Amino acid sequence: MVPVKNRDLNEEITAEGLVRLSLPVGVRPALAGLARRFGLWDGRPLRKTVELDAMGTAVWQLLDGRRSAGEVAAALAERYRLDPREAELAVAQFLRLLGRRGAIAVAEGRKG
Amino acid sequence: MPALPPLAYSRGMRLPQSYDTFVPLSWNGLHLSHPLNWQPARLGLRYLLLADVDGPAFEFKWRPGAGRAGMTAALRALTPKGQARTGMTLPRPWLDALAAYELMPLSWNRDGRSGLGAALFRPETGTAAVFQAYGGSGGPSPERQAVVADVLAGLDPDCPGPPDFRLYGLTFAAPPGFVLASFTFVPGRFSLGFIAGRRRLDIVRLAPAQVLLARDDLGTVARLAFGLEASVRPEPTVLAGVPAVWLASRQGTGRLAGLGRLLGRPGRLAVVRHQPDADKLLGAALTAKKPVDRQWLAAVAARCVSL
Repeated sequence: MVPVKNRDLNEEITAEGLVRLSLPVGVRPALAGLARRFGLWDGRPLRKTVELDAMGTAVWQLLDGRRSAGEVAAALAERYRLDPREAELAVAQFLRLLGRRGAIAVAEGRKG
Repeated sequence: MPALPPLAYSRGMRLPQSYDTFVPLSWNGLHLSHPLNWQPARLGLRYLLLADVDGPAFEFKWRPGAGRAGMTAALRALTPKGQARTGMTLPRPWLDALAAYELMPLSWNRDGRSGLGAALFRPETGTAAVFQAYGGSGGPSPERQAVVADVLAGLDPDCPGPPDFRLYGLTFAAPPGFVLASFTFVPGRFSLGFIAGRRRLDIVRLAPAQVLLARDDLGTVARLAFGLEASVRPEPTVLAGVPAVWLASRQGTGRLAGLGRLLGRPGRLAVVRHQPDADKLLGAALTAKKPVDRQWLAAVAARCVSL
């Protein structure tokens, strides 16, 4: 399982060296229609900004569309001298969160 | 904070595939050695599941003093309901490693997975236990059987003295009289909770320290780690040559403080130290109805060592 970044998101590096993500937000058609009717929304895609912490930034920088979640966890454990199981849990939890927000998708890993 | 350096990465960082290297593990009085590529995946107060990248590998559940009848209870606890068969023959090296135990071999096979192990009873100590090695539909592979034989050879659930711990980046030996009552393992935090009468001892290991201390100072992190009120003021100190903080809540010796503790608001003393070489924060806190002896707590905290 290889995590792949959403091509529609924008990322920038803050002055502190952290990653800031700007994600497109889906709007329910019913709500979108209402918002348009009352002039609250002009139809342009809405975006949401998320700033990652130091570990989130480290994980994000490792997502290159080739490394599996396990490989990312192993690299994180090495970088922060974490217990391997702890790094696996941290990466799994973080990727789940990113997936829920639409920042990443999961592709099938390469064979062999 | 400057931009993080690019993370060095190599395929070699993947969990090691070699079964040659064994590492010791201690959990609540259980001692064993397991291959480096097995990790503790699930814990209970007297339960341990080790897994590798392919899933569960070895499982052990034990109950001191449960007696011979505890074997069947332990067997039922670990195997799929109604699926376990007894009376199998275990590999010869397993039997050799378990010579001190009475055995009731077990096996099960369901949905392409299988387990092979035994319910155990040790007459000298009265400990009942059950273990199983996981495998595919054909049972544990010969390689896994060989590894499990080595694990069983080093298995000891009856270590005398207070329980000790060696896993998830922490080693700790509980003070006499304290027994493990709870534990938590979540990313960044491993904590153990012990009780002795009405006293409660909490041990915590936080990591990575560099990330936690980039956001807050050591006193704030320590206060949050032990859930102390914002009014508790940290007292910086040095313990074992590294920076540390003391946090004292309701530690006064006056009558009013004593009355408050007796009326259900126990006092709490905590100490947290920053271990820069291991990039971890290690802490201990004692909750009691009497003021806590700092020297005693400092000695207990010193037993908490980063792996």
